[in-house]
Amino acid sequence: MIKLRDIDRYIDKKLQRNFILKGIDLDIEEGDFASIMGPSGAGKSTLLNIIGFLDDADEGEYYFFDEPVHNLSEKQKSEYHKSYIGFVFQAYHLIDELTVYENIEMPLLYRKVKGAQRKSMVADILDRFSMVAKKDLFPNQLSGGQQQLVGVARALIGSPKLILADEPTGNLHSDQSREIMEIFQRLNEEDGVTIIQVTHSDEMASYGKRIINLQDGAITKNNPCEK
Amino acid sequence: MLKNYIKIALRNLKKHKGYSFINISGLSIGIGLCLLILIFVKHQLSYDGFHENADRIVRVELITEDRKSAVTPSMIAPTINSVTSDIERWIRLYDPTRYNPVIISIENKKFQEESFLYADSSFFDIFSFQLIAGNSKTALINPRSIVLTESKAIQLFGSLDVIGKTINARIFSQAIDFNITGVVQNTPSNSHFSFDYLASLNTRSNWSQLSDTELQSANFFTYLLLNPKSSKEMLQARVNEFLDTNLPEERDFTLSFTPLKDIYLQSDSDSDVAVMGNIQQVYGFSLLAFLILIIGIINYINLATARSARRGAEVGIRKALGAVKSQLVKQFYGESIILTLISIAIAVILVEVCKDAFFNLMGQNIEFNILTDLNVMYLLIGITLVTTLFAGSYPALLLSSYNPVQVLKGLLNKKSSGDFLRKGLVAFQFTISTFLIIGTAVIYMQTDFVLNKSLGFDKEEVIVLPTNDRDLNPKRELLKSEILRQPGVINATYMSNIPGKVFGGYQSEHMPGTQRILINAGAADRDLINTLNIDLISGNGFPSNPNYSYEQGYVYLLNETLVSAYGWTPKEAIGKKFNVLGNREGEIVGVIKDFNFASLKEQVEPLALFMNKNMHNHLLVKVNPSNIQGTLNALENVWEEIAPHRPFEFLFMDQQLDALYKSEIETRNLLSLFSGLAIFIACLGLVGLSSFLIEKRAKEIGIRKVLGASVASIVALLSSDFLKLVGIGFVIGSPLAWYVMNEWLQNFAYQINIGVAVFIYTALLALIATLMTVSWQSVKAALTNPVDSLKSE
Repeated sequence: MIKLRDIDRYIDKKLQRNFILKGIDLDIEEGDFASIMGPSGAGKSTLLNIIGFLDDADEGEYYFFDEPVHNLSEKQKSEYHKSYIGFVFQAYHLIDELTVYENIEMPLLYRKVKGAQRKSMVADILDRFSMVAKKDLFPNQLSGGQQQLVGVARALIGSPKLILADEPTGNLHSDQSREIMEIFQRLNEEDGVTIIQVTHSDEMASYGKRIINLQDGAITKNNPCEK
Repeated sequence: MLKNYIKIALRNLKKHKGYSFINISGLSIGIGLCLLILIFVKHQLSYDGFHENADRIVRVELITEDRKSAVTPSMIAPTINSVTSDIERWIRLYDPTRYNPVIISIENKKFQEESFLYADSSFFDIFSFQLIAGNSKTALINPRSIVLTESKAIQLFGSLDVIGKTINARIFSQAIDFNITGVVQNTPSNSHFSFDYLASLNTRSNWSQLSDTELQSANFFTYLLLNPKSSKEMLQARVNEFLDTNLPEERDFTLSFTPLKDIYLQSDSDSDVAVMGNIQQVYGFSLLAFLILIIGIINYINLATARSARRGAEVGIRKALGAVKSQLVKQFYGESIILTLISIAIAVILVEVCKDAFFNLMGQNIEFNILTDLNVMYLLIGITLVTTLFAGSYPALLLSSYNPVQVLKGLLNKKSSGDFLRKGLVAFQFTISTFLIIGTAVIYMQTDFVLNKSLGFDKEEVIVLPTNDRDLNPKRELLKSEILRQPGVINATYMSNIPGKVFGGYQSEHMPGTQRILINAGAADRDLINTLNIDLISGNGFPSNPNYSYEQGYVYLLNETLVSAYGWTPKEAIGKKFNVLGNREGEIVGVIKDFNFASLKEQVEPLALFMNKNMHNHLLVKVNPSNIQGTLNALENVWEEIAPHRPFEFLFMDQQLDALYKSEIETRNLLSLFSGLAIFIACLGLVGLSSFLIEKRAKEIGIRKVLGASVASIVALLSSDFLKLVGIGFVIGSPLAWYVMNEWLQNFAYQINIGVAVFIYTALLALIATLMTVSWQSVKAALTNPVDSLKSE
């Protein structure tokens, strides 16, 4: 599904080139659940952003379902992005001015889904996350865990093939974190959704199938998770 | 999607109420002003366009050596008609009220009227004033025919059914019974001349000045309807050719032709039919209204970009969820459209509420319904587009171009996005404000100066009574002596013309060895000098003998300017022979100090005053200031007794003189309004901007306080940024204002000096306004407990 070959990402300073990622080779198969781990500044988020089409690599090749992403136009990238990928953020990143319902609905609007269908899709997912009663509340009226549930629901609404989660539990306490991870696990096992998450926590990583260790912009370990 | 945009825009407006208020109030004031000014401009440009033949009508103007006059001799039109085939119809108008009001009597009621015209019978064929009753072909054919306007008919008779009725008009002492032959719609406010009464010109067929063949004085407004195949240029060529071949070499005039639609805004003729507009003023006001709108738009741009850090996060999320740039651009444009539409709705309400007061301030009477005018719709669509484009583009393009990765990490705060632009725009706002404040101050000082300058005579507490009336003539001396007996009356004098109104342009006699001099001349009586307190420099003045009459030989008072034009000293002039118009021989009996008998826009012109009791058209009564109302009552009683056939109408001379500066006073009033609003909107913008920028620097303030900074030093730090910008605005705006206002002052022969004080006061005003708006925000920030601001990180 994802094939990275010799990916570099760097920032040019006056005299030197600072590499954030250097020579990354990575394959992720459909149905995988990978956790990217590593110290701060190792390039975890950057890697995730490149996979998620939010950032571009400076060098190297990136194949998404065998499509060479490095050769795609912005518009094509945006199409892939919209139809295959869902994002979950550490800081939830809900839009404060929109209700729970409207936040979840938003990706569908960008995909130009028809009104009636949109309604039923949002209703489905609200039901699945038991949030029907909260659909008209605004993000600041929810707890952090609830907000992240909305964030996950929003990522899932378009039935993506791939979910990218940047420290999804970083701002949550352990009960809430477990709840989110269990949802991820179910999605992965029952619906076959591929998940890549960035995390600092071994416990959260243990929900996945594979751990990728990153240090100073390079992959140091890439092993199946020991259960 | 659209619903989503609208929803989020409205929620944003609601959530950030202060921000919305600043934007909407600035924009709606700007848009409202633009609307009002555009309505005004449209009205100014629409003058005389309602005539079906507007494009084919020209007015004839008489150009002599030193004047261009809107009035021409009566024979001009018939003569042109007989020598060319370029014109289809012609018409002459004569305005008797420019010398004295007309008295209309119906039964026992009397009305003093100022809007009365004589017209040739072709009037309704040339001009498109619609008759409500009567026949437009025949209404003005017979002598003693008169057409009333709708509102006059209602006022006089209470109905429009007035055809065949008779009204009596007393014009130049002569009472004439007119037969009403028509009722015409009220003259539109965008007609360059207006009238309440229109009488047939051939009523005056015995008048020597009204001749189709002989050259007489210039008294008539002449309009020509051109042949459809001809043009103004062809007519001009033909007339020039005719004048060159048929008139002797000493011809000292030419004729020019002004298209009807250009008369109102471009006429520069003397003795015009009404006060004309000024195209410069129209351009100036349009520019100013647009500048105010710009100030409002700048607020929007500044606040939107200042908030970009906050909105940036939303951009990041939307991009991460699949939005492409074009969708975000649309969204932010959509927001500014919504904001603009709300502002427009408020602006329209503002315009509806304020339009009468506003046009009043401009001295305009514009009938206008904003909701039913189709042009306003186009205008509003135009304003929406312009405002959206100007106000929305920068935020829309800036915000939508953010890289989602960076904004989601909150990297934007570190970069000063749009900082330079923002500063530049604030400085620009204050450049405009400075310019307007200085402009207003200078106009205030100058109008104050012209209204209060000593004119060389007493204009205060002088009451003017019109006395040009045949039945009153024999009783004039009686009237004056009765009036002088009233307590509170200090003195009185008759004059043919009063200061501020036209003195005739007479030619003086050819003096041996000097060129002919164009002078102003008029009659007065022996009490002139004492009544108006004019300085007599040499000679004895008018003879005090009550039995003196002009038949014994004219006596002249000359002003200094005239005397020195002849190269005489005041002493030499006394006893010299003098003559005005060649038929008034006499001698100079006094030289008076120059006084400003006309507008202060002009230097004092040569003036000769003589005595002729037949020309006692006005009685000027100098009264005691202590009980003016009582004195007026006494005057009215005297008047009722001696001249019961005329209503008691009077005016104060100072008001008459102040009216000379009507346009300047209007400009002043409007400019005060504009500069007040400009400052207000700019300061609102500062409030918004400073609160955002201070919020952004909360952490810096916290750190400084922890390190021991005092409240005062933090307030100074935060305020100084803005003061710098206001300072830059002042530095750019004040020389600009100085230059422009100096140009404006050139309109006046007598002008103030723009002193340094204006600039100092303006700088102080800007300083205080800025400090007041910025400092409370700074103080609030400086007083915050640093723990709070540092914790939030």
